Amino acid sequence: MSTHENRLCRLIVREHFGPIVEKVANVLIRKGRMPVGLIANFTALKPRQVRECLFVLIQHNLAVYAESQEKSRIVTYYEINRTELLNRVLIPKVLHSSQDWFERDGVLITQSLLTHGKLTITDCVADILKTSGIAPGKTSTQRTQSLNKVFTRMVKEKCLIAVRPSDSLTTADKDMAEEKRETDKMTLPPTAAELASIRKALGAQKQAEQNATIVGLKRRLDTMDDSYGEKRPRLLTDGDLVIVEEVETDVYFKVNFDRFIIRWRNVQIANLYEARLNPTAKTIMQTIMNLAEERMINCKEEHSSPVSIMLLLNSLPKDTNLIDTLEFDSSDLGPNNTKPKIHECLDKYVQILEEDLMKILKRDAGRSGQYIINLKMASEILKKNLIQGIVSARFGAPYVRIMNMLADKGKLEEKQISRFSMMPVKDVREKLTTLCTFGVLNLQEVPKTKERTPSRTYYLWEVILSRAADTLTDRLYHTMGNLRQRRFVERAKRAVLLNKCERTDVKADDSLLNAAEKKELETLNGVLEMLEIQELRIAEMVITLRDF
Amino acid sequence: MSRGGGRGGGRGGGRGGGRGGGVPGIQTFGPDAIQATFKNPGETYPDIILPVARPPTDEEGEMYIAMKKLQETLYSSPYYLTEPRKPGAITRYTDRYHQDQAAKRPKLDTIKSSKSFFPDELHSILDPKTITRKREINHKYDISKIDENEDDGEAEIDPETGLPKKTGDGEDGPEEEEYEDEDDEDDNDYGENYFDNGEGDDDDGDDGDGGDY
Repeated sequence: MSTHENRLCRLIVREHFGPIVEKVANVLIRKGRMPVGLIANFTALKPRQVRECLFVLIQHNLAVYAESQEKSRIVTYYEINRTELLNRVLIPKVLHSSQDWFERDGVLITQSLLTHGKLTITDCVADILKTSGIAPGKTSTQRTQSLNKVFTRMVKEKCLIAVRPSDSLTTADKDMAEEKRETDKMTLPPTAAELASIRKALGAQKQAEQNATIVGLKRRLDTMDDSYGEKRPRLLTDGDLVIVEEVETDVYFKVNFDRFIIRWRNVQIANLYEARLNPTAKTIMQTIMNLAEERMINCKEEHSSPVSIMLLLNSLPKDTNLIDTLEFDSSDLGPNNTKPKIHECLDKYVQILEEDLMKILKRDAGRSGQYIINLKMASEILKKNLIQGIVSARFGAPYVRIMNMLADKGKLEEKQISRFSMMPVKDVREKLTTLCTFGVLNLQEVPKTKERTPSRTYYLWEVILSRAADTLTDRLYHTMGNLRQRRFVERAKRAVLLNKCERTDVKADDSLLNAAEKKELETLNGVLEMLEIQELRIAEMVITLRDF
Repeated sequence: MSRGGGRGGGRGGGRGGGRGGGVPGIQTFGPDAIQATFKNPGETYPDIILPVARPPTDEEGEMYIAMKKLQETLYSSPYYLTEPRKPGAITRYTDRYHQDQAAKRPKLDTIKSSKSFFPDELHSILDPKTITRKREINHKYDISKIDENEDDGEAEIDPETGLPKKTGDGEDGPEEEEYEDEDDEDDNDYGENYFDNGEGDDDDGDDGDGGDY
């Protein structure tokens, strides 16, 4: 809700949906929820234009609405969904990941859904066939079947999520309506304790719904009948029946950014072990994360679901070399010095991962042979590493030393910091003030007397990771806004040339542009590419600090 | 004012050189950074050496191309709203080659979506033939039934929105106003202006300047 975040949201809407939708979104972002008439007032647009803009925003899941009863009529209020709007900066990475995980069809499906906001499987496939056509040698039916297959797989892996009509309503209003429904069943008004228990029960119900079966996927029985061509068809038995999962044709789906963020986080957690141990440890960790990923809903969970070591052994990639990448003591190898078996190597690896100082992998207390990931600890380590990297690049190693010391030891005074870091107090004081201004350190005053005079007050410095992450996120939003605005400025500088390029005669014949104009276009392309890539790099940092 | 005049050449040289030995300028990033402090604030406009970003990788190049393609698709989609192109004061020869993008884009009523995602007042965008009815609440009370069960006279509550459900029959309801889409009406709707405190004057969308990177 800071100025920088508002500016970034407004610029995203301008780039994707144009200047008119930007005006409406700007008013909603800055002034909060309001009805159509008030938006028309602030934006000086016609009510019809405002309704079209709101329609576009709701279609792309960027706005929600709430209907409120006021005197004798019902007024509809609209509100921006900031989370979805800010997730749009990750679109290039989402497209690239779709290519890696689901190949070309996955990219086409993701592109179609990002263009239209939400679509049914039938409409999505029809849109893809219309825009990209059919490859030679394939029929329309074959192409439709292959797209349906990939779509179903994306839904099963939760990269696409069903959208229900209730998702267009504001969360606060939905929660209030559910609470009202529960409290209306009671004869007397609820006490504070009863209200708290109702809210807790509703929260648990919501959690259970998220963990339940995937919405939009139905199962049906199909036959594995291979008796085509036989003269007498045979009787089908139970063994010939298989359960086939299909996507419901009347359910709308959208891209689930949370699932992509979860997978990227899992990759980053596995990468931590590559630097600390070896690539085989990274592979093992990645496999554990993949097995636990199915039950993950969002990045804020503290622990993963348990993974058994037997399942891990069967799921490891075939080219994983466990034996040669470990060193065993001669006492472990036995009298014949025989090489250990694979499951013994895996046990040894898991033991090393468990004993590692990061304490991310741990044994599940209730069940033997099962391990869980401490996701909260892993996220904190990722955030800390990133903040250290930012401070190191911006200020240098002495600042990082002070920050790490405070992160390890908690609250310290500047004299103690000077002693531990072996730097003079004068230098330490300047560095502490710089880091505090930057937003990484916090100052806690502990007065000795009730007058709070500065000479009789302890000043303790500390690192609060969540606050440091929030402050740096805001700075990164500022930078992203600058990069985005710079792109508009660069295009505006060459507006005459771009206007010329949009002419139908120039599009048909390239030679109407002279050499200088072509060079200018190339320069513009290079500049825009650099700015876009820089913004993407910063967006990756933002998701580490904000979402992990 | 010639404050920056003397240092113009040096600044240009500093910026053009980037990192490198012997280039004039102050390092403001990294381990050799000189930070301004209260006692030593330094020059007002020092020549600074900006860090150079690392070149894009192949993966990042592919991401840029994919995003550019999506942006072009969005630009020609019905979701990108612009004003129609107005003819200029002077008629030029090349005007015949300029296309009106707003007219070229398909309309919003051609998209595939469901009315259930939108409130009633937006249904006319998806389906222009829809006639929007104003929903009014029935406040007529029968005094003779005042001692009876209160639930009889109340409308059924919609579990999702918490508001009274729309009833199909209008026997007891007030006269409902039907109106066509508001294209022909005046733009000023005085009924919804009661919140206007004159706050509409300062909204120019200027949220911040380009600061340091």
